[in-house]
Amino acid sequence: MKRYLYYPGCSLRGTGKAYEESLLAVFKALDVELEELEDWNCCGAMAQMPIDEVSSFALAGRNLAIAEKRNLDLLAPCSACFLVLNKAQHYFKEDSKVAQTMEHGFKAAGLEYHGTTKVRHPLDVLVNDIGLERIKACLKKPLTGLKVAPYYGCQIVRPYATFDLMYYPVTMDKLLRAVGAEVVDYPLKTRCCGGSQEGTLPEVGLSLIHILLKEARRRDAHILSTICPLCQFNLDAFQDEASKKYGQISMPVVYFTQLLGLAFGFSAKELGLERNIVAAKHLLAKFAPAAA
Amino acid sequence: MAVKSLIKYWDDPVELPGGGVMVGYASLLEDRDPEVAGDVQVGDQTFPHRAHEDRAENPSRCKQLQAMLDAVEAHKKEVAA
Repeated sequence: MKRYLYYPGCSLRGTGKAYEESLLAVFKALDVELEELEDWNCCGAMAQMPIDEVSSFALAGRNLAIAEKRNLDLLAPCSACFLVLNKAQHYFKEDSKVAQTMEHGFKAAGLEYHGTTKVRHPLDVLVNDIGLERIKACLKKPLTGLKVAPYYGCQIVRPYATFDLMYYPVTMDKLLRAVGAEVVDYPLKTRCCGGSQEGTLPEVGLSLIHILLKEARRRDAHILSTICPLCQFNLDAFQDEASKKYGQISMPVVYFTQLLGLAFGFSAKELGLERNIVAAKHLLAKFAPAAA
Repeated sequence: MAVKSLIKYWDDPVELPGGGVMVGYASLLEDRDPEVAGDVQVGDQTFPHRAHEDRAENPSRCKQLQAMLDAVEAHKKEVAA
């Protein structure tokens, strides 16, 4: 049985609860064990990064140091966590001045870090460790006829393209095709969702939401699939406001793990599909009866 | 669309049970369509940051994190001087 350390981060215990539910269901079905990182702390992306970058690396580094003791790859599903953990790792190894400052932090916490923890994303693990053949073997209800726009967001492949192409990633496309969905060509797949603008320049944020969803619709997608809890929440929760300002648009935005879970035969409730704001389960029920 | 007006950002600081305050969080304001409603209810906090939880439920982790941040800050000042 494959085994990974699991770092939920704040989002998967809050707005991204459906991501956690569907992720755990899918990994369990694939017989992959996820062991939650003991005593994990905030990655530092949201709360600390805008205040001080190096101290946010120290916060992320505490998680890396705890993970290093277990000698297992660290699975980080949230794009912001994935980026900050990788960034902290990158600076620790590449910038001796930053590393020295981080080490002062580790020492104060009674920790040691040698820079060996490998931060992985579920997409990477699913395609490159588990493999598409194993995934196809778990298929119970192929998503035949479902047209999906694959949306990766901005953080997963930039600036560190650790497992996919920087400007046109394809890993999620492969996964969705493997479970029978039709993946539409979606050139906006790594454009900003506008999440960072909602609190400061909402008209910009709403405009970006509208552009992304309108383009997905123009390309005949039924649904938009994402890997990022921040993008999912932004595109789902603010869709109504974007419609009012820039024209009606309605498209369910789901996690790729929810689609995989449906194809594996899990129910809508098991996959958190009832948590979506723009209803997805009725649409998905047409393609995967388990969603009803 | 399942809801009319979903999100409100709260600017007023809220005192947390274990100490500290939280600002700039969002709440769900209106009920969802019963057809799509999950167990997220009106008034649920949508961003329960681990940092806030720490103060209330895990003071030892909170102290360790603070010690790290203090040490990082002290070293930065030392280097700058």
